Amino acid sequence: MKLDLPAIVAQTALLLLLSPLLSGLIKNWKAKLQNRRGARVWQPYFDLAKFLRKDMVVSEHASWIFNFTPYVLLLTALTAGLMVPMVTAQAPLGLFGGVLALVGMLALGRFFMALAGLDPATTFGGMGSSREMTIAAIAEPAMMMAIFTVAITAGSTNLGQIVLASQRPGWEFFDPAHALAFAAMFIVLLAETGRIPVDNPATHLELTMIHEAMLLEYSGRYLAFMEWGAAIKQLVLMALLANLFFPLGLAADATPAALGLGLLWFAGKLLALAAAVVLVEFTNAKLRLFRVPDLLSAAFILATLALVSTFLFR
Amino acid sequence: MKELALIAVPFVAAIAALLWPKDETRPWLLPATGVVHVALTMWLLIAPPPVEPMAWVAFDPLARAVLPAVSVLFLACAAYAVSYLRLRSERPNRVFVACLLAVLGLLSAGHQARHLGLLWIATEAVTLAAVPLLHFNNTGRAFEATWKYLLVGGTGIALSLLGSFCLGYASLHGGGGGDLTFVALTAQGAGLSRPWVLTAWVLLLVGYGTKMGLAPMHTWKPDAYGEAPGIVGALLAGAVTTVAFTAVLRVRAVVDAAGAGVVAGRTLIVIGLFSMLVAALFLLGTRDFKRMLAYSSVEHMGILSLGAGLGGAGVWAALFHVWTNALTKGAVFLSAGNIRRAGGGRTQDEVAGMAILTPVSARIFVVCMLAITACPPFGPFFSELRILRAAFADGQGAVAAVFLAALLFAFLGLSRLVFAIVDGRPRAAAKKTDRRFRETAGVIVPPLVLLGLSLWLGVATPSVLQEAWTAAVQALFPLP
Amino acid sequence: MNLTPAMLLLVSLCGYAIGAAGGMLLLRRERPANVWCFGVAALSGLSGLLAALLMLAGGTGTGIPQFELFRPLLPYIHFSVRLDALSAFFLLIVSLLGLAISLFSLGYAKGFFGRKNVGVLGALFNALLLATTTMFVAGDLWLFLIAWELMALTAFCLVSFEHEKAETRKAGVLYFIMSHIDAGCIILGFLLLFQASGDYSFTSLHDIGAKMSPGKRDAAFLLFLVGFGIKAGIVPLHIWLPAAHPVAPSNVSALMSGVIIKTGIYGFTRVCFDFLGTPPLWWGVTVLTVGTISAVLGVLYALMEHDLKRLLAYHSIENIGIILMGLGAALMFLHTGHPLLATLGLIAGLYHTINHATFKGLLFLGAGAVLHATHTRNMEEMGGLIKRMPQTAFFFLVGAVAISALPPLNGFVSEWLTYQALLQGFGTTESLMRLIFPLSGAMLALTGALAAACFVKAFGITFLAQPRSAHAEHAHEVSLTMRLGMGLLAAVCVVLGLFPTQFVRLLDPLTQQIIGQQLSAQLSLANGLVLGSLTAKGGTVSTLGLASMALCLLPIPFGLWWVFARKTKVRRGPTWDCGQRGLTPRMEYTATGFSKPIRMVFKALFQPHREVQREYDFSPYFAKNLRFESHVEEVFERRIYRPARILILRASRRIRTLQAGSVHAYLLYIFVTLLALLLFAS
Repeated sequence: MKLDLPAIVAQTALLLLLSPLLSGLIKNWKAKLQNRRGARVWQPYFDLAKFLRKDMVVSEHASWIFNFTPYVLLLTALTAGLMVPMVTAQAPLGLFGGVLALVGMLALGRFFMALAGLDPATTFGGMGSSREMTIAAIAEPAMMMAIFTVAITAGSTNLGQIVLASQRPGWEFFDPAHALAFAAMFIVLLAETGRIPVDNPATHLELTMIHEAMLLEYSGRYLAFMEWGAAIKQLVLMALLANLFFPLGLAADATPAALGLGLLWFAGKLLALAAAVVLVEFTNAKLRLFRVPDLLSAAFILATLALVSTFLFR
Repeated sequence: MKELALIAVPFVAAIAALLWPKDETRPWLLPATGVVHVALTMWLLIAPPPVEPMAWVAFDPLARAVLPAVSVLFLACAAYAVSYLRLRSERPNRVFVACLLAVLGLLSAGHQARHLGLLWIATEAVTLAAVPLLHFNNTGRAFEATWKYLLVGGTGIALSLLGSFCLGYASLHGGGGGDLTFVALTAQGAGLSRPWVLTAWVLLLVGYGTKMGLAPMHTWKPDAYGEAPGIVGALLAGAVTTVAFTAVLRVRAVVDAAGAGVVAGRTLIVIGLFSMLVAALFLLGTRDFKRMLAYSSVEHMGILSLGAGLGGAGVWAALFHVWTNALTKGAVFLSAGNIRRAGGGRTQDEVAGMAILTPVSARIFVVCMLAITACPPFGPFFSELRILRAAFADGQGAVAAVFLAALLFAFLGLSRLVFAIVDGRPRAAAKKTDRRFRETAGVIVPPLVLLGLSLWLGVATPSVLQEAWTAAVQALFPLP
Repeated sequence: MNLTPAMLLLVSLCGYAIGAAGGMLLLRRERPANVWCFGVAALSGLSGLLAALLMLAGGTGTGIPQFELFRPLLPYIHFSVRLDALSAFFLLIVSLLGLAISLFSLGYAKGFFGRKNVGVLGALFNALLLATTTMFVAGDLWLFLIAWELMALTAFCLVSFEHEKAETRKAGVLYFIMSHIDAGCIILGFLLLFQASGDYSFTSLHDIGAKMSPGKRDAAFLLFLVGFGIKAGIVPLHIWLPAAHPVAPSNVSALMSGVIIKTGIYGFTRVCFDFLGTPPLWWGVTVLTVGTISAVLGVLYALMEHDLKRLLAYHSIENIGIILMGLGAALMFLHTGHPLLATLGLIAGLYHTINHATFKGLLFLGAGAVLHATHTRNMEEMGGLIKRMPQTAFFFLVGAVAISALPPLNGFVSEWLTYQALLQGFGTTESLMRLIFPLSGAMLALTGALAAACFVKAFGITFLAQPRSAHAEHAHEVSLTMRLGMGLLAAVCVVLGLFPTQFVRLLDPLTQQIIGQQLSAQLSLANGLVLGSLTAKGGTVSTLGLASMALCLLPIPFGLWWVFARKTKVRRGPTWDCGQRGLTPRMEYTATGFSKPIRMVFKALFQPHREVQREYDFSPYFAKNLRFESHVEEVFERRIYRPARILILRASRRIRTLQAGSVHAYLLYIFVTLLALLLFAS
């Protein structure tokens, strides 16, 4: 076994550097659509740098879980990111785990984040944890079903293998099963990244927030780690969607030209996805909490249909 | 001669008891007779005497397979009786002791009877001799129970007499000599008139079934067992019912020989399962733990009847079950008697928390309950397993299923009631009742010994017993 | 001296027996009884553990140790003990848990001093371990059934150890009744097998299903499914489990949830894979479906609990479901003739079996430690324990992460294997399997996510934030032996999580014996660092790799800290309270509140009972007094068990009118019977 060290370093850097940009981009585009000028695209970098330099206030009720969680969140998101193919078909850490490990790593981060929400004895944190875990639980079957659809077609849960298996010349890679699974996964993406209509990333109204409620007690560099981790997670999930369902333009070899082209394709796909997310956020209102399960069951049904269609339409 | 001594010794002791002047020392006659009786039966069990074919009374294979169990049970009850009667010194015990001994003598006669008429006389006499035993407490309810026992039991006796006549007539009708010894009847075999044999079979089954307490002829049991002292209950449930069961077995052998074995088997299975189901349903609702024992006895009679109905392997299992039932039932009745004495009541409304009041008796009671509901490794588990196996081997899957369902319901009913009595906190009233009851060795050891024997029978059935049962099955239903 | 597995096993069995006897002798001296009983049990567990490890590590080459118990004592009944690989695997589980729980008990039982008889507790504890171990290594039906019943009986005594509480009594009797039913089913099933083989020994029963008629084979399968299913706690036969496990002393709860319910899995594996032969398709479908339903419903009901031990008990149902998913998949693959895939399913199921034993044992011990310190099982009265009992909290957290199937701990590995088995089922031809496998996979995902939610609640409400009662306020860390017991199991959770390929190697003799396949070589990639999934292009995972990768990335946050935040200060301050004056524990999120979204989402299933009473002066929004009541009743209790109970009791009441006391009626019965029988006979 050999680990491709340059690839690991490169992808880690990509994850760390690209993720705030993606968040900034989405915020900026959304503002534009809403007829606002919006913050600069680079704003998240400045935010992170500012947070890192600030002093911290830690709740007197909090335990070591509170201090431990930011690290867990950041590291699980990074490790998960290393298992996703981004520019080449093979992820640098593809051997260490496929899609199941990826979901598991993200779940580990979420587990600790929810604990950290409860830790400082605040009601808001508990509310956020409770809602986050509920939504994650109902999103999970839809996500797995969608992933199974592609995994079954490829006969593997290894992301690299899935991507390779669905790579076909021309536009043949996209069949009804993939289309349905993609739709399901897209809804899951909205739920997992805390987007409208599931959660509103811009709100700080106590009674409606989910993800932000858990971060409420965080400040300083811990807040930076948490925000960064969330941004990386968003990038990872979007990369997963982009490359799993549209395996176009992945670099076939490690020449700089191929890699550059791959990177361009990757950026293009991310931009397209980001545009889709922004459009959904722009055209929808946030759902009531107890209407979210309806949306996610729709995703589950789509994913099940996708699965059924893999052996019905063939 | 030893077989006659089995009958004579208890009678002599009974007369001695009648003549004995002192209430305090008279009970010691019971264990003394019991010891002699056990010694004799064990001797006969290990070294069976040759059987005169046409003898009216003999220690034949069936007696050998069953009578020792009765004898052992009697000894345990007799040992317990000494302490019990000391506890109940307010009641005169002259008639009680004498009748107890007479019952033993008559039981020995009944088990060894090889003549239909003699068998009937012995059974009838046992019924009558048990009357003063049931009435020992001399309360109004005891009187009512005795009356019902006499009336229902008497009807059964009358029916079995009628059945005996029918069987005799079947022999005459078929051209035989009307000889009522079982050997002669069996020898006549297919020569017996079939309609008369069937009539006789039904009459005898219902008659002796009343004595056994098969449902729906069991109606005398709850009252009688509820009112009688524990030892009497133990003897009725473990020994008196057995003599009726051997009677049924002997008659069944004749019916088999007459070629109506299939019908006989089927009736036995039906009535056995019916008894078990009825008993189980009663057990689910009863709140009185002495009546509970009565229904449990009905259930076990159903098991015996089922076993007898299943043919060869089933009869073997039923004989096994006679033993395990006698010993375990004895232990249950004696320990229930302790609980009754200590708790000062008979229902779960009056008695609770016995684990705190009388820890030893309560534990024994729970273990007895486990044993009687066929939890391994106690005897009844193994004997009922054999019956189950016989049912399977016979291809009667449905019978096995009903059997197990009934066992389960019975278990639910029993465990519910027993734990209600044993666990929890003692009732306030129970603490105030008379505290003469002490957990002395005299009341603890006999049920423990019976339990131990039941356990031993289960995990390591002595080969001499297995051989005796096989011989009895051979003698009753010789393989063609 | 050369230690053989057989010798070590015998030492272990004798040890438990001696421990039990010592407990009975030392009834009145609680301190020596405590040390003796649990000390001896720990040593016996160690010995059993060594026996099992020797046996499993020896590979397929070693023979199967066999010997007979009580040979001279009981002349004609053969009590043969046989330590084949399957037995050894379960011996490993019982011994490991026995060791850890005995260590824990050394400290835990001190809580009973002066209150209950520790000698009895210790004796019963040893007896339970003895019966369970004997049951796992029994080589014939007699010994199996006797040990099975003794196990049920001692477990019942232990469940009702604190029988002065009405709740305990009720649970004990319910448990006892259900054990009786399962014993009945198992006996019937074995009688069907015995009929075909004519011999009691397990060797003669091997593949006996081939000699049986399909009808009888199916009947036997159903009987075993119900019988072993009751013991394992599958839905809907589980009702005894959430009642009985919480009321037992916590060390016993750990043993019951960790080991005793696994006896159902052992029996089921033994019977289905060893005895009954190639299964028809519907067996696997049934087992998989039952497993899936158990997993989902188990975790959903767990979420509704705020009694810490009841919550854990419901999770046992969930995990039994996950185990059965693996085994069900294996049965289906056996039907379709894919022995390799069947082996994968079996490995997944058995791996999850030992995993569940370790983390559930650990969690119950943790709950026991909490109970020991706070004297309550109600989570709403806990909180803030992480500061008062830091080590217990840490061990509990390890268990919580493991049971939530999060990497890199053991729960993740076995669920990963289960997913692989389910996914590969798609490649087989049956179209029913094509749908049922991914659907179960999705339900497994739901289960895992809900379990994570549940353990966020369990850990968060119990250990984090401010204490919600004086009990929790004054809690203290538990004694060293108790922490040792928990620490041992936590370490095993980590080891089983990080080194799956090494552990799968131990399962080689087992799968070789049962299915005739060995997978460890195929599952182990990259020198055993990576766990594979049979096919060359299949999924791979390496928990060790992921964990070390995460550690390698640790310089990133530390580097950021060094570059930017080296000079910043950390200040402790109050939690933000919206400008009120100070937060009180009453304002914290409650366990009931935490699970409310889930209660609402699954309202159709739970049908929660909710009652709110407000007292107010002028507006309902400014209530002076508010009483809120909410509880959830199980659907099976509501729809199946209670109606059945009512029906039976009604029949019982009806039949009692037969015994009305009238002698005339009694005589009438006799004559009616006579008439009926005469008609029947003629």
